[in-house]
Amino acid sequence: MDVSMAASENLVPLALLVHLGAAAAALALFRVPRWCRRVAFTGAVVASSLTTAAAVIVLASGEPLRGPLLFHQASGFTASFAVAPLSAGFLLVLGLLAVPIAVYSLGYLGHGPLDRRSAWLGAGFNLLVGAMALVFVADDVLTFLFAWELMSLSSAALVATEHERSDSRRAAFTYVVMSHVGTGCLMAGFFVLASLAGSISFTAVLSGALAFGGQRDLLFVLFLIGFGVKAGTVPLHVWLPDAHPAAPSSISALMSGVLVKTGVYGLFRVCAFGLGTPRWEWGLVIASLGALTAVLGVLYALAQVDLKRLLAYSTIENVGVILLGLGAGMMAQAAGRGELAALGVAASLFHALNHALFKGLLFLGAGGVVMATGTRNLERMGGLVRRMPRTALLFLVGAAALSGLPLLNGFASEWLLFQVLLLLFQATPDLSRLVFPVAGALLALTTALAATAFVKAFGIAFLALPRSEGARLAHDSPRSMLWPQAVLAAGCITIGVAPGLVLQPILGVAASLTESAPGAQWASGAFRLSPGPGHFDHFEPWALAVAVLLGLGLAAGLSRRAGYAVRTAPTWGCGGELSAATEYTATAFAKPLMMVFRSVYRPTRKVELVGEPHFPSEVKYQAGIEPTFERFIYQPLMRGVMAAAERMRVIQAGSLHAYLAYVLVLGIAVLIWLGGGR
Amino acid sequence: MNLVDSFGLGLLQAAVLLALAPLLRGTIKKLKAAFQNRQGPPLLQGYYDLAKLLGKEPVRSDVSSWVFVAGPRVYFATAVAATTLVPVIVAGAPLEEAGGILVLVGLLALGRFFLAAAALDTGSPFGGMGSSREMAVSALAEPALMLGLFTVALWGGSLNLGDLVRTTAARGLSAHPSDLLAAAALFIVLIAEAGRVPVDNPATHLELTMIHEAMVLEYSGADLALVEWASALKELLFMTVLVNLFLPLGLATGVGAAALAIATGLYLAKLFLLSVGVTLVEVTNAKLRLFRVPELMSASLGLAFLALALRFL
Repeated sequence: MDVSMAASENLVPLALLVHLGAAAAALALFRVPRWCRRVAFTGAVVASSLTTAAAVIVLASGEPLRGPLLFHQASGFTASFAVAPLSAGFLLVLGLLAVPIAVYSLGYLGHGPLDRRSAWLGAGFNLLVGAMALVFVADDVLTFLFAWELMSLSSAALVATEHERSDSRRAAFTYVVMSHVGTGCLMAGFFVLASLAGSISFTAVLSGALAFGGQRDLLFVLFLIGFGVKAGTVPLHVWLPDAHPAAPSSISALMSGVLVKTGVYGLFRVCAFGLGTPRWEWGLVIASLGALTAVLGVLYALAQVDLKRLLAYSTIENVGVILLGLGAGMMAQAAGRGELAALGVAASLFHALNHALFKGLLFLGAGGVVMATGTRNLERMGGLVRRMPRTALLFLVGAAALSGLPLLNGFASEWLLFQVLLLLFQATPDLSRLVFPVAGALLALTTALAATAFVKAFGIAFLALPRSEGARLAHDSPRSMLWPQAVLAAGCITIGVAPGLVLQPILGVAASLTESAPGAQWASGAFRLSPGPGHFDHFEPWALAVAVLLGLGLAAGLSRRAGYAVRTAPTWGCGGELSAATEYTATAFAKPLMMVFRSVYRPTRKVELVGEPHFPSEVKYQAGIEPTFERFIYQPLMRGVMAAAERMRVIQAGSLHAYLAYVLVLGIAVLIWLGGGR
Repeated sequence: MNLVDSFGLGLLQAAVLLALAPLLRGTIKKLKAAFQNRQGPPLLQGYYDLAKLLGKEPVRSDVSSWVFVAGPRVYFATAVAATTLVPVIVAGAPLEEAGGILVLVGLLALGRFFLAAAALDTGSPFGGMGSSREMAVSALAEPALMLGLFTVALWGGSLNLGDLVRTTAARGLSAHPSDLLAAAALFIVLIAEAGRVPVDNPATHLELTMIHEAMVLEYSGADLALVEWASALKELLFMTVLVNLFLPLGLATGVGAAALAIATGLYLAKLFLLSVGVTLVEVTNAKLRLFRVPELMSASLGLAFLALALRFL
C-alpha cells in the first residue's frame, strides 16, 4: 500500500520531468525533424498518460495526492503540488485531449510546410502541456504564477509558429498583451491574499476567510478579469479568434480544448470557491457574462467564412455555456442550496469536458482540411465529402455534438444545465428567479444558432461542388491523423449514449467543492440521467437510441418499396450550367440571420462598379461586420495608453544626469517613508 | 410498465400517428378550400400521394453524396422516435422514461440539422436558400418555444410531457391569463415550425418565397415521400402537444374501452378545432416577407415572457 501510494505521488513530478526532457530532446534533435517529432510527441504521450493516471487515481479514491516539486535551501521555499478532485477533473480533460493531439501531430507536422518547424513545435507543445498540467496541480501562489506565465508564453510562441506572416505575429502580440493584463490582475489578487494569509500555500490563501466586504468584491473582480482573459469571456475575448486560428491546427485544438479551460479552472478554484461562500450577485455576474458570451460568441461564429475562426468563436460560445452553469451553481451556493450548487457545477464541468472532446475533434478535422485544400476560407472548399470521406464523417459527428443534438455528448451537458436552471427557479423564492427561465431561453437560442453555424460549416466545406482547384484535388488525411479524430468522435458518441459513465465522477468533483452532494437519485446508472431533487425530468439516451434506430429501419423499409433502382441526373442549374459559382455561399447562408441581428453585427457593404456607369465591366463587392469591441473598447483604450506614454516621455529625457537624480529623489523618499513608519 | 410493453406501445402509437398525419394535412387543405369557396383536393389525397411517391424510384443529383440520402431518413426517424415521447389519448407517453420536452425538441432539431445539411448537397442554389432560411427561422423560434414550454413546465413542476399532462389533467381546464398567453406564444411557434402562412407557404412553388419547400426541392420518389410524411407527422406532434397541454380534457387514465373511446373522440375533436384555427390564420393572412418573420417571433417571445411573469409574479 505504501509503495503504491508513494508511486502515485511521484506520477506528477515524473510527468513534468518527461515533458521537460522531451522538450530538450526535441530542441537537440532539430536537424532531424522526423526523430525530433517522434521523441517529442512520444514523450508527450507518456507524460500525459502519467498525469491521466494520477487524475484517475484521485477521482477513484477521492483522496488528493500531494507532494513537493522543488526545494530551495537558502530561502526555505518549497514548490508543491496537490491533485485535489477539481484539479484531477481538469487534468483528465488535458490528458484525454493531449494524447490524441500528440499522435495527430506526428502525422500532421510531417506532411506539410511545418516539417522544418518540428523542433519548435515539439518543444513548445511539451512545454505548453507541462505548464497546463502544472497550472492544474500547483499548490502555492508562486508555482501557480510561474506555471501560468510559462503557459502563456509557450502558447504565444506556438501562435507565432508561422512568424513570417504578419497576421500571425500580430495575433501573438495581441495575445501576449492581453495575457499579461490578465496575469497582472492575478498577481495583484494573489499577492493581496498571500499578504493577508502570511503564507503562499493555496490551503491558506484560498481558505476563504481572509477578505471581507468591499475588499472581497474587489478581489473577485480582479480574479474575474485575470481568469476571464484566458477563458475568452466577452468583452475580454478579442485575442482569441486571432490567436487560436493562427497556430497550427493541432495547437489550435489544444488551445481551444484545454487552454481556455485553465481560465475556467481559475474561476472555479478562486472566484467561486476560493474567496469564501460566493455572493449571489457574483453568481449573477458570472451567469450573465456567460449568457452574453454564449450568444455573442455564436453570433460571431455564424458570420465567419474562415473555418478556423468559426471554430474559435464557437469556443467563446461554449465558454459562455460553461460559465452559465458555474454562475448558476454559485447562486445556488449563495442561497444555501448546496445540492443544487453541486448540480450546477457538475453541468459546467461536464460541458467543459464535452467541449474539449468535440472542439478538439473539429479542430483536428479542420487541420486536415486546411492541409488538403491549402485554404481556411470556406468559400474555397466544397465537395470534400467525396475527396475526404473519413474526415467528413468525423467532422459531422463533431458538428452535431457541438450543436447540442441528442445521442451526442453536447446534448447531455446542456440538458443537465437546463434542469439546473429550472430547479433553481423553483428553489428561489423572490422575483429574481425570473432570470433562470430567461437564461434557459438564451441557452436555447445559442444552441439553435450553433446548429445553424455548423450546418453552414459542414455543408459549405464538405458538400456540393468543389469551389477551388485546391478543394478539387484534395486528399483524405493519413491514418495517423484520422485515428485520433476517430477516438475523440467515439468519446462524443459514448458519452452521448451513456452520460452516466462520466457524470458519476463529475458529481464527485462537484460535491467536493460545494461540500454537499446532489441527491442520491442522480446518476443511478451508467445509462441514465435521473430526476433531481425537485423532480424535473429524466433521460435515458439508450432507449432514445433504440427508438431512432427503429425509425431508421422503418424509413429504410418504406423506401425499399420502389426496389433498389435509383436514377442519377445532373442538378438543374436554372437554365445555365451548374458550377461552383451558382452554389450557395457561406456568406449567403448566414445572410438572413445577419440581417436579423444587424444591430449586433453592424454589417458594412461596399459595391464598386468598374467601367461605364450602366455597363460595368466588373463589379466589386465587399462585405464585412464591424468589430464592435475592438472599435468601441479597445481602440479608445489603446489611444489612451499611447497618449499617456507620449506624456511620460517628458521625464524620459535621455539624460543620464536626470535619471540619476530620479534615483536619488526616489531613494530619499523611500527612506523618509520607511523612517516615518517607525 | 416494463420495457417491452413501453416499446410495444411506442410502436403502436407511432404507427397510429403516422397513419393519422396525412389526414390532418388533408383536413387543413379541405378546410382552407372551403373557406375560399373551392372544392379542394380529396381528403385522402395525402395518402394517394405518399403511395405514389413510395412506389417511384428516386432521382438523385450526380453531385450529391450519402448525406443527401441520409437527410430524409434521419428526418423521418427522429420524427417517428419523437412520437413515443408525446401523450396522445392516454395521460402518459409510451417512452416517457426516455425523456421529456428537451429531448423532444432536441430530436426534432437533429432531424432538421440533417435535412438542412442534405439540402446543400446538390449544389443547387435553392437548396442552400431553403436550408439557410429554415435554420434561421427555427433558431428564432427556439427561445419562444422554450420559454413558452418552461412556463407550463414550471407550473406543472416537470419537464416530462407525461408528468406534465397528468398534473394539468388533474388540475382541470384553466383560463388563467398565463395559460392563454403561453398557448398563443406556442401557437405562433407551431405556425413557424409547421411552415404555414404567414411564415412560410406549403402550397407555393414560387422559388423565392419558399422556405421548407425550397429546402426539399431536389427530393423525389421515396425520398420525397419520407420528407413529406415526416413533416406532416411533425405538425401533428406539435398540435398534439399543444392541445394536450392546454386542453387536457378527457385523457384516459385507465385502459377501459369506454374511456379510451371517449379520449380518442375528444382528441380528434380538439385536433379539428386547432386545425380550424390554423386554417383561419392561413386564409386571413398574407405571407410575411422573410425579414418581417423575426418580428412575429419576437412577439411570440414577448407573449411567452408575459405568460411567465404573470404566472409567477
